[in-house]
Amino acid sequence: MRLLLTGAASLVGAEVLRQLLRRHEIESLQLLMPNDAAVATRLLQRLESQLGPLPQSVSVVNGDLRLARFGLSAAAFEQLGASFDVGIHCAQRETKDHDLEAARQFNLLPIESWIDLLERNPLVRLHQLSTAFTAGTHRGLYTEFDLECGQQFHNAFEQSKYEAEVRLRESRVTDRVTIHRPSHTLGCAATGDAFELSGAYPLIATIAAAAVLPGDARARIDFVPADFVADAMTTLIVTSAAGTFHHALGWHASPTVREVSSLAAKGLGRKHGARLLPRGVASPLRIAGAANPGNLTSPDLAYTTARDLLHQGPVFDTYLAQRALSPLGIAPPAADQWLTTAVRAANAREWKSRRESEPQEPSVVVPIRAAAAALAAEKQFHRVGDVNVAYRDIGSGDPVVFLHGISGAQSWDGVVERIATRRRAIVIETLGLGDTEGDANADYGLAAQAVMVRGLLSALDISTAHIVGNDSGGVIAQFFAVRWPHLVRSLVLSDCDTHGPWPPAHLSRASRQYPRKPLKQFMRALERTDRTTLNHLLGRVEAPTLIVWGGDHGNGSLSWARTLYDAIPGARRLEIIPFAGVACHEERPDLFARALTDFLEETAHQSSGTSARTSRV
Amino acid sequence: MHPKVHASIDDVGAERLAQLPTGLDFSFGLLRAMERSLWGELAVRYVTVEDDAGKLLAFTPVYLGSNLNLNALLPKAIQTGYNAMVSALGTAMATRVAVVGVLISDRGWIPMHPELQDRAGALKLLLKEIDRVAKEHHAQITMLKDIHKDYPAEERALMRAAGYTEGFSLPTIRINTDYRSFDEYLNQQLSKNGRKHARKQFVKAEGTYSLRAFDDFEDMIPHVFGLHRAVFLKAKYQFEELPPAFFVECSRSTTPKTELLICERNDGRIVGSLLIFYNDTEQQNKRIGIAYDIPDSGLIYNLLNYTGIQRAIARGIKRLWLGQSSYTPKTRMGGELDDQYLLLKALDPILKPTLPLQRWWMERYSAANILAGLDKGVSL
Repeated sequence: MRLLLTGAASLVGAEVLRQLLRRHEIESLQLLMPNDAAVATRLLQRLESQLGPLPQSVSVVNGDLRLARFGLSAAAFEQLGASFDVGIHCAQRETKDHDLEAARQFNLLPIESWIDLLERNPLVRLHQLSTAFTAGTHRGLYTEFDLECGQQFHNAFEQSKYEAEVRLRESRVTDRVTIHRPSHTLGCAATGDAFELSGAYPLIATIAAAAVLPGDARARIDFVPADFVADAMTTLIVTSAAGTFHHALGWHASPTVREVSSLAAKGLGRKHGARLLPRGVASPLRIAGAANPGNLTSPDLAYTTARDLLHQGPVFDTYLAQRALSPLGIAPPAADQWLTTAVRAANAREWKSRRESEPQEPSVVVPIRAAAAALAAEKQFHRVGDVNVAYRDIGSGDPVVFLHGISGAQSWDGVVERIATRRRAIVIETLGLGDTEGDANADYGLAAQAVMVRGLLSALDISTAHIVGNDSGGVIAQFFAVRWPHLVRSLVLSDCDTHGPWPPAHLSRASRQYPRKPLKQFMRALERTDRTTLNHLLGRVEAPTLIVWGGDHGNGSLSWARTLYDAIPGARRLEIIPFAGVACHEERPDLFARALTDFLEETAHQSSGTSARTSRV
Repeated sequence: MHPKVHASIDDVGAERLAQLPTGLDFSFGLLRAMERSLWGELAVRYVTVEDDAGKLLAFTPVYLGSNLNLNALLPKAIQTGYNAMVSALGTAMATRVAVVGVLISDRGWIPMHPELQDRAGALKLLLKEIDRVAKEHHAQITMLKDIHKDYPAEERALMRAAGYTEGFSLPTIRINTDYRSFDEYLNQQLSKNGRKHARKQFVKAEGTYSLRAFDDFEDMIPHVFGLHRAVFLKAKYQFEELPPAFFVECSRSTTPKTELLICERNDGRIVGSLLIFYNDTEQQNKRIGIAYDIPDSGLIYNLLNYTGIQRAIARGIKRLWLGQSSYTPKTRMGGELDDQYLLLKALDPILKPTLPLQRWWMERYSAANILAGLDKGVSL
């Protein structure tokens, strides 16, 4: 059996790796590690310090889970897909905060690449580490068959994990996916050892150390040791279970919140557990926050996590897990056999998430921050005919022109900060939608604005450029491309207004909401735009073209993307950005920038006549 | 005679229980399945009245816990308010209930030995013992569940005299299946439109859906439980949540006999499932499971129910029970509604004043009112 494991350097992932290394069925094991070589090396060193030297059957693939194809090139991704039989996805962001964007980056986006991999490789299976708390605020029974049951979510972790399960269930590969849903996870049962104090450690730290907590003494709460979760997972991996969902926990072994509080306090050498107050009367406690030894979380987050999770929650049913695991003698230990040990062990390392002797990882966001500073570059103005054009000119290298629609020029910031590290980005503000100002006689029409772009590029002494346009900016880009095709090195169109209802509903709404004169003039010009001729002229565009569309754009607009793709002879690729709308470049700047960078690099190396046309959804 | 409390149905024993008129609802297998699949804080006690020789004279299970959806039939505002209160102030505020009768019965009564002379005396003893058990478990309210209209009125009067407030519960649906053939049932039991509708279902299903019945269906449960769960989660009244363990125990039951009717699409996907209980005289179409993601979910519902009826007729069973919901399609199938009663007793003085209001609210669930609603297109 050949395996690919993500998140090996995590609380559960490290245990999964430890147990896989003991299995004789494993032929090869690839670990997907961060792109940054220094970070990957340090993580491997930490793994080896805890698990011992990794055997030769273990190898490393460097990638970025948040990016399409794990950030690999198309060829490398193909190669990866053919190199394993079972994927084990343990990487996750477990912080119980409300940063949904960040949670989705780590918990949802990688699912797209996994689905892609499974679709390309019909024999590959996936085991996904999820959480029993996809149940969210649901009360009552939550079985392994349940997912959507009208619940809401306490935090971004629960919601993003739920969304990932929904995505997997709705995908065509669902029958090759096994979901593992552990409850609150801590270190190993026997020793209390843990690769890192993530998972439920912030919660148990609060329970162990707090004097007063929001909590329902009688409510039940499940904790499971990471080695049990890993044991259950690896057993199901090697026994080829697929298409099922497992709760790695057991109701009958679950203690009450009062009992957990007492067991945890014992681990700290305290006689009594925290005093528990129902959340309805515990609000004043919020002012002080809750205890958080080792700064595993903020006091405020410690308070809200306790408030949300130490009350009556769902009752987990474990039928499928028991059916598969009981005959093999795998069952979770009772809390009183291990919970105190886990707390004691964490306390012995002073609740430090990682041991002090371990090297600190360098930040990988530094280059992006540097580019972001460049974005603060002052806005410049240049007069072209009746118009005083506002624009920003950032970075150096191949010029890439960004044109925007209703979401504004700043919506490109996330993309520009990634592009401008190696290229020159020119963000031009659309007349009527930005700071570009027109005289009384100025023409707000989109064709006229293409002339304005042409004028500015001439003034900046740019002979050819990559033109990127979103929304109405995409229409300006099309006018530019059909009129001056020789100036266009490549064209990128995203969620443009060329088809469908006209003017687009969101623009009409916006014009009502912000009744300023330039916007009204822009809207009038938009209504006059001759789309028929433009669509007809798209056949002239031979420049390599990338179509990027938000998967949640709605109103059937994906068909518009397909129409554009079919109409433009130079169209090379159609990319759909999942879970993003019209402003997909703003909502998913990393994915957009990645698609754009890949495309620009490809166009630099390929001649337009020989490139293959592909679409990836 | 004296009262006794048992912690397990195995302590009562199948043979002793079989001496009482238990029907399907109080059958040993069903009670054991329930006992072995209780979840959360739920517990069960079996209250009996026995003679000195240990002969069972009267019997009823009592389910105790706070995770029973007692409010399901009450106004939405009360349900929301109650849930908010428990959420804010903790489970200590959840109402602890003692439910007397089988949680998932189609109809209720107090099974008593046919030769018992002093029924009233036995009932009084039983009710007194139920009070004691309820108090012992800190129950705040006791509910005698779904007492069927055919249960002797004088014994209901005894219950009221013991402090219970009587109101309507959801009526149960009964179908006469005393026919020589399914065709005879269609011709005699159904209206012209109903007949046409029934036949149309089978024609529509031909070539696309097929049905199979399994006596031993434990291995099927992972494949069908999700369908049953989908129906529960979609239901307007979510009363008793049954975990997969319930189906497992049912598949092992011999009293009553059980079978699982499976509806398969021609691509092999299981799209419907019906759990059936039966004995020599009656049958219950107990729990249905439907794949709602396909457009034919209505057709599958009808197919399963009609096939269940077909099988009852083929077995020579005279009466089939269809549960306490989905009155519109089930009356179209020839179902008739029987009134049932809930008898409530508040052990917590705070809850006592609410009982007359509950009784008033529950008037809407009489068979007459529900049938009138059906005529106006209002279905429950």
